[in-house]
Parts: sequence; C-alpha cells; structure tokens
Amino acid sequence: MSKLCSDQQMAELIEAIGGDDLHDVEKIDRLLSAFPEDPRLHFMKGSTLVGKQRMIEAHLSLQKAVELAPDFAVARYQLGFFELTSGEADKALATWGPLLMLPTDNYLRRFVEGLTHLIRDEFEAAIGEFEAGMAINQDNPPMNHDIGLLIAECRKMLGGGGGAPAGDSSESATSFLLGQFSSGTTH
Amino acid sequence: MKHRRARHGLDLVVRPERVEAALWRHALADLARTRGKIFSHYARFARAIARDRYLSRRPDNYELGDVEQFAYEGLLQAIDRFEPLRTTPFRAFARPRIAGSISNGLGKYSEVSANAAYRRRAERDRLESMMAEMPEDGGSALQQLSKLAATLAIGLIIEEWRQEEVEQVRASEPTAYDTLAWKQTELALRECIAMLPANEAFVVQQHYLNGVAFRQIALILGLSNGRVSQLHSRALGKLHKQLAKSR
Repeated sequence: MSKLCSDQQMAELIEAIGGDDLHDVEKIDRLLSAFPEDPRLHFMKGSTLVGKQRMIEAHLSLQKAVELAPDFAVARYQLGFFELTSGEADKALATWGPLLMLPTDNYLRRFVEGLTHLIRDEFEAAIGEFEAGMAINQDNPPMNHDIGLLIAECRKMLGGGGGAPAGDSSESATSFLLGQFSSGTTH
Repeated sequence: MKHRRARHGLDLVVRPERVEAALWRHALADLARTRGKIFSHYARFARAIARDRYLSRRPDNYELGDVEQFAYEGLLQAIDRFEPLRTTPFRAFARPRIAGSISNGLGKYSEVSANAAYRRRAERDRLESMMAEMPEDGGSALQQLSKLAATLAIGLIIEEWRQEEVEQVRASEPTAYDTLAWKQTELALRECIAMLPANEAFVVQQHYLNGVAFRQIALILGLSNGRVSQLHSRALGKLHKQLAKSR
C-alpha cells in the first residue's frame, strides 16, 4: 500500500474541508490515520492549525511534514517562516539551510536569502532578494503579496520610520498551498 | 528615563502570540529547563496585577514588594499547572490564580510576617550572600567594607531601572554631567550583565529588575536557596570587577 493518499482522495479531502472550519482538522486526521506518513497531509494539517491559532500543534505538524519529506520545499519554507515569526531565528535558519542549495532561480531560495538579510538588519539586501524572488515566482501569488508587504516595511525601516508587523505568508498562502496538494507534488 | 528599544528586521515578522506558543512548546518538552524563561516572560504581567491590587487598597501595613511576592507565587503555580494544548490563553488561566494568591497571602498577613517584609528580607539576603563569599584574606576591614558597599551599590543601580519602569519621579533632577555619567555606568552595567553566565544573569535580572525573592528564584531554577545566594554573590562580584575595569 502506498504511503501517500491518492490524488483522488486528496481532491475529495480538499473539497470536504472547504468552508468547514469546525471539522476540517478532524477530516484531515481521518485521512492521516490511513496515511500517517503522507507529508502533504501533515503540512495541510499544520497550515490549518495555524489558521486556528493552535500554534504548538501547528509546529508539530509542519515539522512532521519536513521530517517525512526533507525535499518538500514549500513545507520547509513555511516551517522556517513559522519559526522565524515565533522569534526562533536560529532555528529558522537551520530549517531553511537545505533551501539555500536550490538553484538561484527558485523563488523560495531568494525569499530565504532575503529573510536572512532581514534578520541581520540588512534591509537593502533583503529588498533586493525579495524583489528577485517575486519576479521569479509565478506559481504562488499570495506569497508575493506578503513579501510585498515586507518590502514596504523594510523601506520604512530604511527611511527611519517604524511600522506594524508585516503580513503572515503562512496564513495567507495556505489556501493557495492547499490547492497545490491536488497535484500530488511535494515540490 | 525609559529605554526605547531600536526596531530590528526581526521585529517586522515576529508575532507575540507565536513567541508565547514557542515557549510553551519548549515547556512541553522540558518544563524544568524552560520555567525560568516562562517566568521572565510573564513576570511583568504578574507585577501589573500586583500593582493594581496595591494601588486599589493603599494599605499601610504592607509594601508593593510584598504583594509582588504573592503574585509571583501565583504565577509559579499557574506555570506548573497550565496545560498548553488546551485552548485557554495562559494569561486568562493565570490571572485569577495570581489574584487568588495575592488575596490568600494578604489574608494571612500579620505583624510577624510584616517584620519579614520583602524589602527587609531582600536586603538581608543580599548582605548575607555577599558576606558568605567574602575572602578572609581580602585586605583590611575597611577595604572589605568598601568593596562590600560598592558591590551592594551595583544592585541598587540595577534596581533603579525597575523604579524607572514603575515611573516613580525622582526627588531631584540630576545635573547634565550626572546624567551622562549615569548613562555610561548603566550602559556598561547592562553590557556586563549580558555577559554573565545564564543562571547568574537570571538571578540578577529577576531579583533586581523584577523584585523576585531568592527563595522564589530557587524554586524557578530548581536550586537550593544557598546556591542562588552563591550565584548572586558571584554575579555581583563579576559586575563589580568589570565595572572597575571599564572606568
């Protein structure tokens, strides 16, 4: 038996949890009990839990997804971003490490490079990487939107102004990422 | 004089509720090792409850420091009993426990306990801590006394930062030179504290900045009272040496 659920099952799950805020985690868990080693399901659960502010469990699920599929780049990016937003910059950098081995025309790599500059308060360099990533990223528009907000905040910092914390790509990108599951890819 | 922290890149993305969740995530793995960090995170919250309670009563037989000790006891109990995977936020869980601990503590307050009020106890703890670590061949009695006074004074400087947080008005404004000299000393001291070993820095920060008694610090760190006293003495000794070097 495959460790991964079928595309059909994934599509049915996505349809079943669409708009069901009450039982969505329960439904994911049901499929997870049949496919406990499917990283996509753990990632989906983690993203859903983030939206419910159940942060401890969310981290566990995202971490599990990356453990099961170390090459699952989007999950690794989101896990690192989650850790960064939790104030765990060192942990985030360690999680992102393998993404820096991706080719330079991969938008996730450029975003990670940008966030690494951001951690070091290198705002101009961060903006450069973010813009390069946005130009490359054609398949994840919500992430571009969030990075765009971050760029605006970096510019304020350069101009000496403050600003509110930027948007959270792990939440706003969730719906898009859920759509990706139906393709059955982890890349 | 308030110290406004400069904003950093990390501030643009860090979310307080996630920082809090990360603390509890670590606590689930090992509460004993995380208790100190969690206590530091919520100490201000407990202190605010204590201050509200103190200001609403305006009592004359106990001090704010005493109410804070009861608040910290409640906070410690709440930390140990909290179940992070339940959806109740920690502050909502802890607030009634802290308030209850204050009420219970003050209810039992008597003349006897008033004699052992926090302020007096803290001063005695500090002095005993320093005396115990004084070397016997540390120079003449006058030299030893001078060193002791200088070291204890460092604690008073750090404690002053806490008073500023409480927004107490100083009796007299310092001169421009005093302000500059004071700022330089403060800056050097903050740098020295940051360089202390973790447990020593924790004792200094909690005792002087949060007004936590040695006894409670011992509970937080899972150490004996004697060990905390020793950490305190060593930390202040190092701060004294470092400050002397930097002047």
